[in-house]
Amino acid sequence: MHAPVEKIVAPSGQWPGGAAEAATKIGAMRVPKNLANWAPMAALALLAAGFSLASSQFHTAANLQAILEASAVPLIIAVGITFVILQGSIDLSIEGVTAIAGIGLSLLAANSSSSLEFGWWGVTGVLVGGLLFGLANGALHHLLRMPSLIVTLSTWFIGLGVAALLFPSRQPQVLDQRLLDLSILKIAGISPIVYVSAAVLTVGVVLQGMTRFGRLSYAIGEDERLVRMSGIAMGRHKVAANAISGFTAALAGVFLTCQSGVGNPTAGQGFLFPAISAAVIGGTLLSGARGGVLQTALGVFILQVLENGMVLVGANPLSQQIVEGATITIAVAIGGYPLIRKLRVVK
Amino acid sequence: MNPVVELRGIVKRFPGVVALDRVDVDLRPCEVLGLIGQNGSGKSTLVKAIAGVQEPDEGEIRVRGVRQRLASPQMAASLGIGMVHQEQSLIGSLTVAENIYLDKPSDSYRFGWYRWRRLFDAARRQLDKIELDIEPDALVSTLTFAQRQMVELAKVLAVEELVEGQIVILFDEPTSVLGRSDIEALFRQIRRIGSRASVVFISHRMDEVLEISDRVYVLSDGEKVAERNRGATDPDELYKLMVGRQRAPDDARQSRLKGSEPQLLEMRGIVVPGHVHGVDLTVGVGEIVALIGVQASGAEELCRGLFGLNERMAGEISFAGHPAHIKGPTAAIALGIGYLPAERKVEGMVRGQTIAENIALTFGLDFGRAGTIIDRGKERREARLWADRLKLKATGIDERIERLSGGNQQKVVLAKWLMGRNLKLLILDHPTRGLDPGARGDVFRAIRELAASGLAILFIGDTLDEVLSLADALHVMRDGRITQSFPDLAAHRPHEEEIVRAMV
Amino acid sequence: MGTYAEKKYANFRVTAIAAAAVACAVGALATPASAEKVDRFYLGVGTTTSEYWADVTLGAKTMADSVGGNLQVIASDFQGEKLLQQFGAIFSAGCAHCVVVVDPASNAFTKALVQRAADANASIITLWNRPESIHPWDTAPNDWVANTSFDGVDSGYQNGMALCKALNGKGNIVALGGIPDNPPAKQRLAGLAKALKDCPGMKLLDTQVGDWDTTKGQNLVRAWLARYGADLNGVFSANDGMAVGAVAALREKGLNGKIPVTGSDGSSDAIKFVASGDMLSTMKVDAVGQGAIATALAYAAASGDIDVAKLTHAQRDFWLKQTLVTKDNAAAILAAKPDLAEYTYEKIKANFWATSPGQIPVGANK
Repeated sequence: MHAPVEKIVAPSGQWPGGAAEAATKIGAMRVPKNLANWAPMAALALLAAGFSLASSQFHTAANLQAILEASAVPLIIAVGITFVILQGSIDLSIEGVTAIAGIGLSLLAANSSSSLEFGWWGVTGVLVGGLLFGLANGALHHLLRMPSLIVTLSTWFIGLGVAALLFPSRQPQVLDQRLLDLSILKIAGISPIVYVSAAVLTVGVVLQGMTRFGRLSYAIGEDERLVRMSGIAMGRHKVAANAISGFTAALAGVFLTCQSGVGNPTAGQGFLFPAISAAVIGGTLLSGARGGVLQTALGVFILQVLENGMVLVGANPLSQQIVEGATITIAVAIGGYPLIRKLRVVK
Repeated sequence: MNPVVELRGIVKRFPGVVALDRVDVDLRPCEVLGLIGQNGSGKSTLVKAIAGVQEPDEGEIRVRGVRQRLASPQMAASLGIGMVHQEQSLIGSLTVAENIYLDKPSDSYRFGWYRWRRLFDAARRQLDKIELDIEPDALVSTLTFAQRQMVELAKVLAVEELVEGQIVILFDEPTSVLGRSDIEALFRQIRRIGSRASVVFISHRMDEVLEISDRVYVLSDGEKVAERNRGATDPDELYKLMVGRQRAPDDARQSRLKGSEPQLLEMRGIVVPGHVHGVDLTVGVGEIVALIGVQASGAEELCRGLFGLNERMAGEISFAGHPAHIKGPTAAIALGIGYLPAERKVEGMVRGQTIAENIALTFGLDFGRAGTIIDRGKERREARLWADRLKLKATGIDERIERLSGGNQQKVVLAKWLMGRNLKLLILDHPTRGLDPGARGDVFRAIRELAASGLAILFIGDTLDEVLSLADALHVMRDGRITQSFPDLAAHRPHEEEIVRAMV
Repeated sequence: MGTYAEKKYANFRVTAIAAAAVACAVGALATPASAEKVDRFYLGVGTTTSEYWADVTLGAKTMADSVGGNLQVIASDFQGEKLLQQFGAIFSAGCAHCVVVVDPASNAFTKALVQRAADANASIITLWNRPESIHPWDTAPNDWVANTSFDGVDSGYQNGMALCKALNGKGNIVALGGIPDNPPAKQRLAGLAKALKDCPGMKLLDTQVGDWDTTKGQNLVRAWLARYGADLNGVFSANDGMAVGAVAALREKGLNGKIPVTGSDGSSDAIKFVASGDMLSTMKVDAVGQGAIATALAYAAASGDIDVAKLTHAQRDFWLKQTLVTKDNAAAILAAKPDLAEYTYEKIKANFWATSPGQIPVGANK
C-alpha cells in the first residue's frame, strides 16, 4: 500500500509564451493563438482597411462579389494542395491536370469540335481522371521512393503534353448551356462556382480535423520515421493526399472551362505558384506539419485582395509583381520567425 | 515466482565491439530492476533488446514463460512491453490523446473517422492512472519537457489495455534532463505502477538507481558482473565492479614540471545554461588534459563552447595570456584552437570528397599563394606528410573518405587540424570512440607526439584506461560540474574506483 | 586531207571534249541549288496549342507537301533559349539549303538565330519578331531571306475605331495589354492611341497588363467593373485570349453584348463571339497564308528559283494581309474553309507578295 500521491499539475507560467495562453477549439483541432497564426489575419485586415481608405469602390457589394468570384478557383486548388504540403511533399503537376480537365471537358460535353454530348457525365469523367492522375503521382512517390518534387515535375509536363495532343487545332466552344450557366447563374448575387469552392473548403476542414487521414497528415509531415515505427501504413495516406490534389485541380479545370466557354489547353497556366504562395503566406509551411486548410484559404484571400485592390487604386501594373513577391517574403519571415528561434533547419 | 521476462545468453555485436557478451537477465513480477554501469557497458543495448527495438544476434528471450522473438516495438507492445525512450517519441502537432494511441489499435476511430469523445475518454483514463492533470486534447507542442515525459509514460502504460497480467515498462535514462522535483514525481509514479508492472530502470546516476530499485545488475564491458538486492549494496564495491577491464597499464608518464609559468588556456566560471554550471579549468602548453564523465556530464558542451559553437556560454576565458571572446569557430581558429567533434560523419568530414580534399578543408589556403589562390601541389604534399605520420591506411590520398574505416577517417579529420600552422590547442571530443584497438593505439601515439612538440591537448575520454594512460591531468565531470580533479596523474595516480565514484 | 589536218582535227576534238567536260564540271559546280534536292523544312512555332499556330502550320505543310518536302514543327513555348537550343542542334548538324521559318519568340533572340542559320547556309524567314536595328539585307544578306509580320498598329487602330463607332464617338474604355516587351503588344496599344486621337469623345480610363492570358483578362475586367461600374462602356483587348476572358467576366454580370469588346488574332471562338454579339470585332490575320508564303519564299531561295540578292527591301520585310471581323462578315468568315490549292508552290511563286499590303515601315518595331 503506497502513500497517497499528489497530483501532477501543470505548473503555472510554464506554458510557452507566458501565462494565460488561450487556445481555441475547432472541432477536434486546437489552434493555439500565436504569432504564426494571427499574423495572416492581421495582414488581411490591414490590407482591406488600407484599400478601403484608398478607394471608395473597394468596400462595395459589387467588389466583394468580384473578389469572391476571383478567389473561387484558386481556393479550390489551394485547398487540394494543402494536404500534400502538410505531409511535407509538393505537387507541381496541378497545372497539367487542370489543362487536361479543361480541354477534356470541352470535348466531352456538347461542343463545336466533337460530336460527344456527355454533359454532367463528362464532368464526372474528367474529375475521375484527375483523381486517377493524383493516385498515380502518389503511387510513384511512395512505391518507387521517388521524391515528390521529381515525380510531380515530370507528370506536370506529361499532363501539358497530353492536353496539347487533345487540342483539335480549333478551340472547341462549349455549347452545353447548363455548364455555361455555372458562371452566369447567380444565387444571392454569387455564382454556383463560389458556393462549390466554399463546400470544398468545408470538406477540407472536416477531413483535416476529423479523419485519421487528416491528423496523420500532420504526423507524417512532422516525423515520418516515428509514424512508420508506430506501425502505421503511410502509403495510403500519401496516395490519398495526392489524389485529392489531382481531384481539385481537375475541378478547377472544369470551372475555368465553364467560365470562358472554350476549351483552352493552357487553362491552368499560372495557377501553381499562387496556390503555393497562398499556402505559405497563410502559414502552411512547405516543411510540413504546420498550418492547414483554413490558413491556406486566408493566404488565397490575401493575394486576391492584393490584386484586386491594386487595380482599384490604379497601381502601376508592372509593379504588381514586385508587390506580390514582397508580400510572400514578408509573410514567410514573420511566420517563420518562431521556428528560426527554435533552430529548425532552414533550407 | 516465475519471471515475467527471461533473457539467456544474449549477444549483440556492433562493428568493432561486442556490446553484450552472453548476458542473462531475470525480470520478476512487481519489481524494479536497476541497471548500472559505465558508458558502453551495454545497459541501453540490453533494454533495447527487450523493447524490440534492436534484436540481439544470439540468445533466447522468454516472455511469461513462452519463447518469443521481439522483432519490432509493435510485437513487444502486443506482449505488454513498452519503453519510455530517451529521445521523445511524441508528435507535437497532435493531441495528447492521439499520441497515446498512435501506435496501438483502438476503437477511437472507425473507417478513418475519429470518434473524439471516445478517444478523449480513453486517454483521460490513461492520464488518470498516473494522475496527470493535462487535458487529453492539448497539443503536445504546448507541453513542457517534463510534461511530455509524463505523457510518454502514459503512452507506454496504455499497453495495459492490450494484455492480461503483468506488463513490463523499460526506462532508458529518463532522468537526464529532469529537475529534482520532477524526478521525485517520476519515482512516485514508478512506485505506484509497481503493483501491476515490472520495471527496468537505467540512470547514469548511481544514487538514483539505488534509490528506486529493488534489485540491481551491474554491467561492465557487455557482461553482467554482479547482482545485488536492495539493502545489500555497497557503493565502493559497486564502483570496483564497474571498472571491469578498464584497468590501465602502469606505464608512468613523466611528471610535467609545472612551474609558475602562465597557462595557455585559463577558463573561470564557465556556464552553459542547462549543461555546465560553473567550471574552472587550465591547460598548459604541451599539456594533455582529459575530461571524463557519464551521460549529461557537460563535458561536450564545455568543449563545444570553447570552440565557439555555443553562443550562450558565459564566463572568463584567457588564451595565451590575453582575454579571449570566442564568438564563433572562425575566431577560435584564428586564435589557434582546433576541434575534433564526436560526430565525425556529421561534423568532421565531408563525405564524397577525397582524403586530400578533406585534409585541406580548413587550412588549405594557408599553403596557397598570397592566401587566396589554392596551391594544390603544396596541399597534397602536406596531406601526404600527415597521412604518413599518422599511419593512414589507404590506397592513396585520392581515395574517397567514406571508403575508409572509422579509425582511418578519424585520422584524416585529425590531420585536417594538424595542418594548421598556428595551432596551439587541440580539443578532441571522444577521439577514439568507435575505433578498433589498433587505430586507438595510433591515435594515442599521435596525441603524445603532438604534445611533446608543444601542442596543448584537451580531450574527452571514453574509458578509464584511455584517460589514465594518455593524460597529464584529469578532471571528472558530473551534471555540469567538476566533481574531482587530478592535476598531476604521473605523480598521484588515482585508483580507477575513485574516478568512477566521481563520475556516477 | 593530210595527216596534219587529221591530227589537227583530232586535237581539236580532244580539246573540245576536254573543254566541254571542264565546262560541264564548272557548270555543275556553278549551278546553284536547283540541282540540289531541298527537302528539309523546319517551322518554329510558339506553341502547338493555339489556333493561330495550327493555321500557320497548315499553310506551311501544304506548301512543303506540294514540293515533296517534309515539314518538322518545333515548338518554343515562347522561350527563346529553348528555340536557340533546338535550332542550334539542327544547324550544327549541317543544314545547307534547309528551309527555316521561325518566330524567334522575342526580339532578343532574332539576331542569334539568323546568324546561326547563316553560318549553316540555311534559308531562314522570321515571323513577328525583328528588332528595329537589324534587317535581312544588312545582317545576313544571303541567308536571311525575309521577315514577315502583321500590322499591329493597323489592328489597334481599326479595332479602336470600331469601338468609337459602336459608342457613337463618346464613351469610356479600358485596355488590356499583352506581355509588355512583345512588338505586337506595343503596336496594338499604339494603334489604339492613334484611334483615340481620331475619336476625341472616347476616353481611356486605364490600361493593365493581361499577359495575353484569358484568366488574367477575366480578373482585370472584374476589378474594373467594380471600380468603374456604369462608367465603363467598352473594353479593348490586345488579343483574343484576353478578350474571351473579358467576355466571361461580363457574362457573370449579364453585361456581355452590352459592353463592346474588341480583340485581335482572329481565333474561331472570338469570331463566334463576334457573330453572336458578345464581342464587337477582332482582326483576323491570314495565318495560313503566312505559313505558306513564308515557306514558299524560303524554298525559292534555298532552291535557287530566286536570287536573294536581287530582292528589294519591300520584298524582304513586309506585312501580310489581315481582315477586320465585324458582325457583317463574321458568319461568312467562320464558314469559309481555306482552299488548300491556293497554297501550293506553283500558285504562290507566281507572285509571293500578291497579298501583302506593303513594306514594314521604319520605326514599327521600336
